[in-house]
Amino acid sequence: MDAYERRCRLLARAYPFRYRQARGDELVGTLLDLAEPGQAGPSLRDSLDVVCGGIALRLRERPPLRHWAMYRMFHKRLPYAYRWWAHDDLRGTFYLARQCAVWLLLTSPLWVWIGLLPLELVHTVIGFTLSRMLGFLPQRAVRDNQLIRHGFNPTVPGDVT
Amino acid sequence: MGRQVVGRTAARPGPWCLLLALSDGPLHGYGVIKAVRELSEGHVRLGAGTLYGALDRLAEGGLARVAGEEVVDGRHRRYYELTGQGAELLTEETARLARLTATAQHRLGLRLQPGM
Repeated sequence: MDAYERRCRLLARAYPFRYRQARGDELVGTLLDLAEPGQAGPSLRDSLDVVCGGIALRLRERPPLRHWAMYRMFHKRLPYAYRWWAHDDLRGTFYLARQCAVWLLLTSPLWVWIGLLPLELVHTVIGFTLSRMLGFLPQRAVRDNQLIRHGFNPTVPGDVT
Repeated sequence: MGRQVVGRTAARPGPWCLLLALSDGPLHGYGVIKAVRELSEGHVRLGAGTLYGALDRLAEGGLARVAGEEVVDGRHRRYYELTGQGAELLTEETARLARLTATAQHRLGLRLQPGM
């Protein structure tokens, strides 16, 4: 794999994992076909086009805010049309980081408000709850349960039960 | 769905050129890009991201489908072709554009007549 192809594969990461699995080689092949002799990497125009295409696809597949918030906050099952989005999200490298970040962000006003109360006991409760929450979220079982809930086999990527 | 896809061609020549490019037989991604550039006399230059987004929409609308795949020089190529519905819509849209062109030429002809 030369430098040009490496850059193409890096650009293709703008697309969701599942799309890359199905169409990644084809996309990279077309980018390689577009290369002029002696070109070190895809042109700025082609690069932006691929990145925009990937972002547009991700946004098109994204569930509505209400469903997304329920899925992220309370592990609710997404509607059938968005199950593959959920699959990509659950299989993604940064799923746990996303989950924790959203939890902390959305509940931060509550923690700040409680934290302002001048009670040592309250602070202890906050610290305990946050540590329990952060310890609970990253558990593998949570991810596996979510995959099962969306109709996927947790042991085989992309396998539908 | 298909009509919605082609309905956008009035504002943008891209989808119509894409359908026209596929009308000559199955083409792979780079083949489509070249054909569209030639057909549009260089005005429409599709990038790979735009191309695959457009092909996905055509496929979702039932206007195009995958005709086959092969690996050439280590590069994966998937061929696309028009469906019957795609060909039908291309014919309709071409006839509509021809009528529009005739009207435009007629109006321009009237304007360019001496003494007008």
